[in-house]
Amino acid sequence: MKGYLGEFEELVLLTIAHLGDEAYGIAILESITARANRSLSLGALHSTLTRLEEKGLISSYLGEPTATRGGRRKRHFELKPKAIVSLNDMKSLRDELWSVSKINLSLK
Amino acid sequence: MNRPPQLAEKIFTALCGQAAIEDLLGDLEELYQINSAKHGKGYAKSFYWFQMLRLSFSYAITKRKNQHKNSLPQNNNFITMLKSYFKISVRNIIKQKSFTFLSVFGLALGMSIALLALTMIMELQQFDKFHKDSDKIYRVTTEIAYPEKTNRFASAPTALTYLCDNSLPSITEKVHINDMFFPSVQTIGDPLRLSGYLTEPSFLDMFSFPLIEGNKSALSMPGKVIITSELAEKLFGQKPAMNQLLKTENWGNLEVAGILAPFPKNTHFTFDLLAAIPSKLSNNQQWTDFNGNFYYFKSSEPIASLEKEINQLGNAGLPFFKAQNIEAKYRLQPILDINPGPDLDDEVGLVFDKPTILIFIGTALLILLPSCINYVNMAIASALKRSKEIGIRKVMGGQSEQIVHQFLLETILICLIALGISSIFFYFIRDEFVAMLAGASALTFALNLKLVLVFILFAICTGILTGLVPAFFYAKTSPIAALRNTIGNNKVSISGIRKGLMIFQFVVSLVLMIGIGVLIRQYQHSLTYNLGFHKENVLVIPIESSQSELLKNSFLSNPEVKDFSFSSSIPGTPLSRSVYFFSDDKLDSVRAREVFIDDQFIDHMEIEMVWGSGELRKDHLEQILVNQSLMDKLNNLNSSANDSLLSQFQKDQSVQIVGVIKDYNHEPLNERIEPMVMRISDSGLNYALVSITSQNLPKTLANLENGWDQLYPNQPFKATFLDTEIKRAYDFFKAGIKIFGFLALLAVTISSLGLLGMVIYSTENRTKEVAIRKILGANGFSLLKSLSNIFFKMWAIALVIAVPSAYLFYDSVLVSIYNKFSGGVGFVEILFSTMATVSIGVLAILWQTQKIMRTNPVHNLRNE
Repeated sequence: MKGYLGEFEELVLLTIAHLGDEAYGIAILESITARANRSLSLGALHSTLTRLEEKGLISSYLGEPTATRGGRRKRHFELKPKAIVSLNDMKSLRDELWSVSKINLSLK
Repeated sequence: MNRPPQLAEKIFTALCGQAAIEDLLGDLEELYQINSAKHGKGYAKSFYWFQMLRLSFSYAITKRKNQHKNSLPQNNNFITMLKSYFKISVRNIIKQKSFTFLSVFGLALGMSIALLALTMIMELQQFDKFHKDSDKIYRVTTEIAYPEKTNRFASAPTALTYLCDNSLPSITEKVHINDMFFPSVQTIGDPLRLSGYLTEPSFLDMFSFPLIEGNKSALSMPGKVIITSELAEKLFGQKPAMNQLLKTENWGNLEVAGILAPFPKNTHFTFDLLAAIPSKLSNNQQWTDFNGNFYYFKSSEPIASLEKEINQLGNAGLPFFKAQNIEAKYRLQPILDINPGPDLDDEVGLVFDKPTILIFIGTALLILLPSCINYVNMAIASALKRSKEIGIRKVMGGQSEQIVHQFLLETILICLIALGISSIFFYFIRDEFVAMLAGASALTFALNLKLVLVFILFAICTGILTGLVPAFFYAKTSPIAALRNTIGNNKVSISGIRKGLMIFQFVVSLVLMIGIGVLIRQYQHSLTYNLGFHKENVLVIPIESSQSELLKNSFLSNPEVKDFSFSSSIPGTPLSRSVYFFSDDKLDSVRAREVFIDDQFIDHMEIEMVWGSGELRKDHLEQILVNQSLMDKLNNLNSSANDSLLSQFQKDQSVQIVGVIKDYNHEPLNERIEPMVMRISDSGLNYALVSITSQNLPKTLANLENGWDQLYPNQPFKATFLDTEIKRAYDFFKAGIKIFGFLALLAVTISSLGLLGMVIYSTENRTKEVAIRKILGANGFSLLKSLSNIFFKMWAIALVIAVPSAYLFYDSVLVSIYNKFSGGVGFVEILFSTMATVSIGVLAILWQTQKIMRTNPVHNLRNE
């Protein structure tokens, strides 16, 4: 079970990668809601972020306060090298499975 | 500005407690703004609530709460902060010199008595620990239930203890002790009264009192004694004491057969000498009459089962107790629990019982508490000086607990400095205290490392407890109030509790000061009171009883000797001998103090007779004089006899009363006039009383000494005046005046310091008011009136409480100690003591108020 990632965890990690410097709570939430078209609560998102941080896949730092946040600071997230390795492991596993598939998976 | 629901935000903050949630709150609000723009306010609000609740119970919050718990924010830089607190504390202590001085001095005074109490408690813990296996030695105590009350005795019935010897196999060692052993050794003047124990050789096995000379078997031989090294030195000096004879009046000749090495004084045994139990005592096995008999044993069995076994043995004695309508139970007392222990009747030696210790601790706290209160008052009073510091600390992000730490550390520092000064006080009062306290010679009051650590711990605890109040006072102030310098300004007056505390301090000071006045008056009264005999110009010369005949001739040949007589005791000092008069059937008796005199005594001392002459002749019956009190008692006693002038003395001796003396104070005024009998004797006379008429006192004394030296070249001539001897009998007053004086000094000083602190507090808070009053034309007197009004009111209340209660208190104490001979409580003394105390307070008030009144009002107003 080396480098196991849950489906949602993978989604969050990729979203953080997509958002880059702008990866903070609401931005991640909005991006996932928009892209994956699923409703997501702030609690669920932050729980996952906390677990990812615990696993050592991401790190966080506090940014600048903004007016729309009532003068409160954002917590930004960024990927750690370990996350990139995990994502790559995941991707290569998928690609391998795709390539060895005996059934034609192509939608065309 | 469109704000998310405040209630939800507050609930969320409360649920999260100390966890860091700034970013989450920000996320929630940002989401709210997006939603209210997209879907309207109503939707956004309810969505906010929903999101908030989901978030509250999410893993993210749980994790963050745990993180906070595991790492306190200051943990990372704890040492740095501690250094900073310390530095700031030192700076503050140096900056506020008068405040530091007042509080340090007050706390040092307050602590000094507490240090004594601490030392005493620490030393009592060590009592009797030096005996081998001291934790296995027990003593049998007896609980006697009378119909109305229950008494616990340290002694035990001999019948029971001899039963224990034979029937309890778990007892490995045991010893019987009887403390009714008071031999008095003949010396010059008063005989030397010793106290000792009658016991067995096992006494020296069980208790670690090593012998330097002799053998413990002396304790099984009658007529032999083992003495302590102190007694050996007192009696024989440098000469060898072994095998010497002690000539005693009541125990015959006792041979010294052993000397104990000097042993630690911290034991509950107090004895000068040890001897064997006479066989008549050890055969006499009694149940109900057990006073003075003690039983110690060593056993490894648990105390509960031992107690049960002994009570079973004790059942054999129940019928004897029942006959007297009392019940007896037995309890074991480990010897380590004797000091400090319960207050038992018939104690074998020195015991500091717990109630006494508690009273002592109470006194110590009564002195310490006001000084702590003073510190608190003054610390809060200095709010004006500290508020900027607090304000800036808070604005820079100082948490309230950090401000609490700062103040606690400061108070602890002050307490430690106070401890240092207090140790100096402790060093000086220690010797006085030992001199005042009965039995204190068993306590060394020596400092050791453990004691020093306890002192430091005590100072730190005092600091923490004292510092909590000002610490929380400052911690809860708002930074805005602190920076605006408005802390405490809303409270110009002093709160009710603080007023009450100050009045209490005043009352204590007043009562103690009045006490000094009362004691001094009573002392004067005792010295000038007409005791009923002639005491001026009388010399007292201690003699050996056989010397009276030869001295008589020597005195007669000296022209400066006006008159002289001999007596067994110095009039006006305590009497120790007593005899019993019996009724004809010997069932009833009267105890009387006994004085031996010669035939000149009554005339010489100008003692008034009610009946008969003072002359005593030797007849076939011994002739005696009695005082009125004894005569009254004898009248009741001899109702059946035909002749009330004939009485039965002890040993079936008949005596004839030939004179009745008017009651006079042969003993000090604090003793009642007891029944007293005067017997003529040539042998029991210990003092020569010599009246002299002399213009040249040194020459007369030299003449007398010459006469003495011719008769007794080897004995020193020791003459004192009778009034000096009588004065010495009242020396306990000096001790009392010292104790009261010291306590009063402490109380007055501490309360004055407190008063000073409060005056500073209230005047500093009113500087602006005073300035405005001055500008508007108030004169000095009206300012003084408005500033000191409240303090004079407090003094007035204190006076109203203290003076009557002090009067009643001392009056009842004097009556109980002095019977009818008290000098009473004088109003002059009360007035004087009160004036002295009040004037100290008034000075403190005036000193501070005039300081603020003199300043230019412009300076005070410009600061705003």
